[in-house]
Amino acid sequence: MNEILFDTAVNLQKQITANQLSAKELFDIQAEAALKHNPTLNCYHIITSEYTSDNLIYGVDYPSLEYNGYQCLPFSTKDLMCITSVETTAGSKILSGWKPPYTASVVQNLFNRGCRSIGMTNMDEFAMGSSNEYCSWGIPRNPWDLNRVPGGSSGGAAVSVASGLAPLALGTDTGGSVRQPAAFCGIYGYKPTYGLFSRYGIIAYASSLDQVGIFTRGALDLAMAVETIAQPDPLDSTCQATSDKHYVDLANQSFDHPPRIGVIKHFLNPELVDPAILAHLERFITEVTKLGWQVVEVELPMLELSLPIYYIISCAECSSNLARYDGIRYGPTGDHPDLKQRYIEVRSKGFGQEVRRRILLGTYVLSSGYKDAFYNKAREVRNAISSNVNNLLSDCDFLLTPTTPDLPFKFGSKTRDPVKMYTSDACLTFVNLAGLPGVSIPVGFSSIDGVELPVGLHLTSKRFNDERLLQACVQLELAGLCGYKAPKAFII
Amino acid sequence: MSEEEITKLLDLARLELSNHEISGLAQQFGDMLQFVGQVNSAAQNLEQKPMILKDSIAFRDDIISQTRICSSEFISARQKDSRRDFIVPRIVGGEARDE
Repeated sequence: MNEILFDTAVNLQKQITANQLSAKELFDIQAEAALKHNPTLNCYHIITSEYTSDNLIYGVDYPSLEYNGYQCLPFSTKDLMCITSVETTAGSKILSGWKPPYTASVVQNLFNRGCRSIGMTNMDEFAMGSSNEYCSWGIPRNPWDLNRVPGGSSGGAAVSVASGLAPLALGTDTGGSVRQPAAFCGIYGYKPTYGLFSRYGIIAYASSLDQVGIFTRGALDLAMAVETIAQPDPLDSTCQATSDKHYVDLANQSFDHPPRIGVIKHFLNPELVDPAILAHLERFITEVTKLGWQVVEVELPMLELSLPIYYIISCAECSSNLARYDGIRYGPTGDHPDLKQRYIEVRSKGFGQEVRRRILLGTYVLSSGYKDAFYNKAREVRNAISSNVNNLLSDCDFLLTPTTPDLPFKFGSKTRDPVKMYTSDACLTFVNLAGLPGVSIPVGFSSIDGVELPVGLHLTSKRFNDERLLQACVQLELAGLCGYKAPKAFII
Repeated sequence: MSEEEITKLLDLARLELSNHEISGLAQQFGDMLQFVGQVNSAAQNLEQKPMILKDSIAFRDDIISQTRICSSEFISARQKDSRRDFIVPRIVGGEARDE
């Protein structure tokens, strides 16, 4: 077994600092493993080590001993994060062959610390999906059962980390697209507070909800990555990061008083959530109580509306954001002599069925006569839900829910019924609507037909209280309540 | 939702589907509208409360918030050529006639 492939970023960093391993050796081992396993897993659309572009050669090969953030380590990039001259498609045929002229700030922050991207990971087209079955470049497979979905939309990114093909992956989370695949693949998936990471250079889906997130195999790895990525960015006016927070130091501290966790009652329902997942939730509550943490049941009014609201707002924003793919500004140039027909031709051929569905829903809820009934109403309820969650978080340090209502499901089992697919994110969208940070932690496995499938639980905390959430992850991992396990099939 | 309504929406969204796809979508779209329509009925009795800025997400299109970019960055930024805002490309085809 090549232990390096399944080690945490913290341990890899230690080996590099102690000169037991060079950054180049590590990158080569990871790239070789990616090339070997990608035909089976299809998590990468492009493996960038195959490129010879100058943009992929970075000078920093030795980590700074004074800096404890993520440095000189490889990572994978979701296929909607621009890297200069590297094909970036957002999983869509409409952007096939497009090479951006600039690099996303979050990726640049990692480059500045000597990190290199192994490749662009597969995703649902324009991040619209919960299973990764809407990717134009084939479906990534769950490393725990190749017949099951890895979750979505950042499914390829989650698979790359879970199967040892990258120690860190960047994804995006608009309504659970990092945390849900993290739970399905048995790793950590973290979405920061809206505004902590820059969105410059990220292909937009729903701008008021989109946020870059990260996948790792260790709790402290999350803090290392946040330390490097969360930087102020004058190129994104919604970015509110400051460079004075040291996330690794803060996450390593123990709590000065036992945290109080609110368990949202709505999800303690076997009709909504798989009983196998609820069993893990119950066990987790028992264990954290033994640690001295206080656990209370809480109710979140209007929670059941968060999913429909999410779809109204995200589809409205996507119908506007995706108007730019018209063959003039972006997309292949059509050849119809009439401009309107050219738009129609390019968009109809370029977009897949789920993207077309969401654009239509967005167009409908924004159209005159329906805007007040749907979009404006959804905005009002969004604010009300945000207030309600913030009220709960003034009384509790964290809110606890299952990450997903289901275990990883089989390919094709939900694609015919879009509404059924949408419910995969039922436990997570309220976090995006309120702009809060959230993390899915791997807490164990449940067996179906003799196959072990991962289970994740989800914690959220107050806005810009990300360090406290990371601190909780580290403490829970140290107490043995969560942690990564390598899928047997991929242990070399 | 009727197929005519779907066709109208497709036109607004600059998309085109085959008749077979439109009839399939008409059924799915009905389910989707029923799903998102819960908001409309449930929000009838919603109490209107102003929200404090610190509790809201960073992106609010109804509130002008203070930027965190320091003034020196603004000063050192390249001057914008405002004339470019008024250069309108010549539009050919049906769009120009609609105007």
